[in-house]
Amino acid sequence: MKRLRVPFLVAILIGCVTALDPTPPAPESKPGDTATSESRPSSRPRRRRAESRAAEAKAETRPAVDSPFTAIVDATIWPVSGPPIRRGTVLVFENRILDVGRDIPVPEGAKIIDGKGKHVAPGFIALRSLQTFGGGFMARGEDSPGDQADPYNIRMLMALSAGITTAFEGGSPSPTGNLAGFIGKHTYGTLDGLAVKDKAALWVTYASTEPLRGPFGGDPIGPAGPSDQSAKQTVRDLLKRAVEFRKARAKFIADPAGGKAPTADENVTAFARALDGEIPVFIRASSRSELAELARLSEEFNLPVIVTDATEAWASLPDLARGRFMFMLNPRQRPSDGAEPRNRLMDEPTGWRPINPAALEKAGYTFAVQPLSPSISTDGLPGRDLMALPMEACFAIRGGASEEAGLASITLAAAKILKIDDRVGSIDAGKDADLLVMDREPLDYRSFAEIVLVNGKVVYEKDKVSLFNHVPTDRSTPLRGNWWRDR
Amino acid sequence: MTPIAMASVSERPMTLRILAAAALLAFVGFAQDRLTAIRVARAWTVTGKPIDDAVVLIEGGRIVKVGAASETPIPEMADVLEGAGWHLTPGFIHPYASGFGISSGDLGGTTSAADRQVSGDVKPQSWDVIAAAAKAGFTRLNLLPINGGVTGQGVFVAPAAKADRDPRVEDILGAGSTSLAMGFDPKTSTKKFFREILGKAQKYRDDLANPKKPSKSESKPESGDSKSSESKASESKPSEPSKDPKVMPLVDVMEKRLPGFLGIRAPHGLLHFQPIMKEFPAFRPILCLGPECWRSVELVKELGVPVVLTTGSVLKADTDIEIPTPVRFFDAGIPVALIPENPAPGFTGFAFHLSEVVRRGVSRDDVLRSVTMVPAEMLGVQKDIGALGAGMSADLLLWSGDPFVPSSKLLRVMVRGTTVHDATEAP
Repeated sequence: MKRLRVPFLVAILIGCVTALDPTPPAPESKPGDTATSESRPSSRPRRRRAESRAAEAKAETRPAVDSPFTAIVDATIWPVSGPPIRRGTVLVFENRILDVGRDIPVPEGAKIIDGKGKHVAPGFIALRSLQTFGGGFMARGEDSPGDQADPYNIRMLMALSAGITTAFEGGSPSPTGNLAGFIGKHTYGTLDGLAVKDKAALWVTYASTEPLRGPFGGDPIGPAGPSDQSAKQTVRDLLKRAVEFRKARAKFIADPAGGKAPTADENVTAFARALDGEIPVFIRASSRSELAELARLSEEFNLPVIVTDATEAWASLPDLARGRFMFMLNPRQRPSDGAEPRNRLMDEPTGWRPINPAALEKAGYTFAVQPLSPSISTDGLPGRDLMALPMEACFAIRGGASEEAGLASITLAAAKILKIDDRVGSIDAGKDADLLVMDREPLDYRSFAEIVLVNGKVVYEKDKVSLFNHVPTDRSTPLRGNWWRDR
Repeated sequence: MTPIAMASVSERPMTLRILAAAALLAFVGFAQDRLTAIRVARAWTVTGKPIDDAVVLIEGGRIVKVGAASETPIPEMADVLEGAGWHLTPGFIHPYASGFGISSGDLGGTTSAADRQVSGDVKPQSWDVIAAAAKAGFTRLNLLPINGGVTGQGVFVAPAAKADRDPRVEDILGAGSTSLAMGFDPKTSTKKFFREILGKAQKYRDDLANPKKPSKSESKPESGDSKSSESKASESKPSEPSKDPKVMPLVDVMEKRLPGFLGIRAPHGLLHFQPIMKEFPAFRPILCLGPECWRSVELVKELGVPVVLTTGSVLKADTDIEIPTPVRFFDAGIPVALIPENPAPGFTGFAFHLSEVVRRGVSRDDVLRSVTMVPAEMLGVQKDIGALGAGMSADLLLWSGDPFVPSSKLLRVMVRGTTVHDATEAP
């Protein structure tokens, strides 16, 4: 905190200078304003303009930002890293959070977002996403996803309406390890600050004996896992070589004159980076036997692993204790079909295990949740894609996890898994200003994100985007007449 | 212009056909050599205000005089073409036409065919399509190989009368090429390609400007003054940097000697290309944008470049909000050239689509400029075509009424005073 004082004073000085600026700020456009030519200066005032176009122009006009400060005041703040702060302030300087708490002085001229009666949460993180950075988004050859991102695409806007500000897309597991996946931010309308990390994780097939399947069973969406010990041996061999590589590297660092810098295959260095804890390793394991096998691997090589699926983790805690794990799971997922014969306890007819997150939390593990489908669309799959990410957290709570862990499971825990918790995941001074202003508590099933900030910039306003602007904040009032026309 | 001179610009060794065409033109030719007077209810001059009850005198394929009927007496010897309520506009110019038998070149978008000339590719069968374009009001078309990467240099063609079926390859810039076609689709590889090839072009310019220190890595700040660098180059000829034919046309684009057209379909493409344009301030090509690029208006304005757009509007994603893309650009004061939504021969209804842009709030003058003077200026031929004025080529469209009213018909299309399409003729 102390380190921040000096920049804070500088920032206040800048703020004062900005406040002294004699030019009056441009009038902000209001969503209800239906005036046409008066509010939009134009060199051709005589032109006719359709009303829809005028309304559209409003929606696209961003308020003029004179001060580098933005302050969300008088709101209930959910920092995730600590308890909620009633009637608190989040002060943002440019793209970072400068301070958070009660009685924070707000520099003059700062852009104020009135948070009275509102709740402020850190932007949600989707651990798996599909096409929120654009439809034609794929890595091929030297082409990096960040170089084709489309920050105008509708899925990004929809993700923002669901409160998702950071997403992780791409990557499929292989026994030799697949260094892939792009972490980006939903910086709608700009590429500035969109890319966070490319090739952000190592995807490994190890314990799986089944091909990866989409939601509801369906066709395999990934390659079949290794069915014999020799394929698993591939992973172990790579890890052994990575351990050797790290030893040689440590030796070289200790004594650079003693020889050449060690080199290794790309796969080996990737595993070495995973052992260093530099990149996360995602490995799928569902059943008890798979989880136990993975635990042995993790223990042998001291390898930190992000376990995906982990459907039977709640029943595998003694085995899991041997390894180093974090979990990415879905509290609504049922055990995958026919993987292997299960014991009586597993074969209960309801299938899904809402106590899974609760059991993991009590055992001290970090878990993040993800929906059954990583996509987002207007086509449906209601409540099971990214549009309802907070609902997954609610199901974790329903199964017995704490509310804190529930909220963390779509924010800070996901950030820790992706190793970007130095930047996002909680409302703390120094972190990126990715903030949600919500009309209710973040995990209330009625909540909507009303204003979304990414990197300190307002990228989504519920009132101005046609997705949910017909839903009034106070739901006791009826829908606006002809809302389908007015929007 | 004599018939022989007209035919001689064709690069094809078709002596017999040229002779036959010459013989035919000797017969047809009198129509354009003779003084013709066109009297219309309104002449849209483009450069000035529209003239009501106007007379346009043409002779030898050129406009001799344009004026109000009261001030422009029709000589007795002149042929007179007149009709009640007729309007006259300059012929439309298509600055960015693809197809016409010209192959598009590389698909990957990471190669340079900057030295490619497509004048030889215009085949007799494409000529029918060019004639069809005349029916939509186009009197000149800039044919380009349009695709990703640097795809080659364009060629200017004009429709001709039925009797004169040889494609007339206009020799606008001496070398037969009008402009350079480029295309960008956002990818790591395409970004790298453009940075590399523009870097080579910039290095050539830097080496030319600083001939004594060719290995200097730090480039001088962009002067943008091509004349000074040229004069320096002539002083120090011995150390002139080597010329790569794949790069030199880009140097010409940077020096504003050759118009460059850069196709970018989606608005995020421009976001990805913007940093490259910042790195190369001399590289300011004309942007040919897709209809979704209404989002890029502010960015384009900042870059200060003209744009080529189709007439179409788009619906904002997931809504029924119509965004009239061209209108946004006109409103921002950006020079706009409008082209049909579909490639040739799907030009049908172009005039109607122009009228829709008028209906959405753009003035008739601005819309007319966008299909005449603006593309002429893009191609640097504004002294010859793109307006009605004395001395300009008689590329004319004769309408039965206001060209921006859907009920008006395009009656007659003239290129250099010769009728190339006559709606009153039996098909």
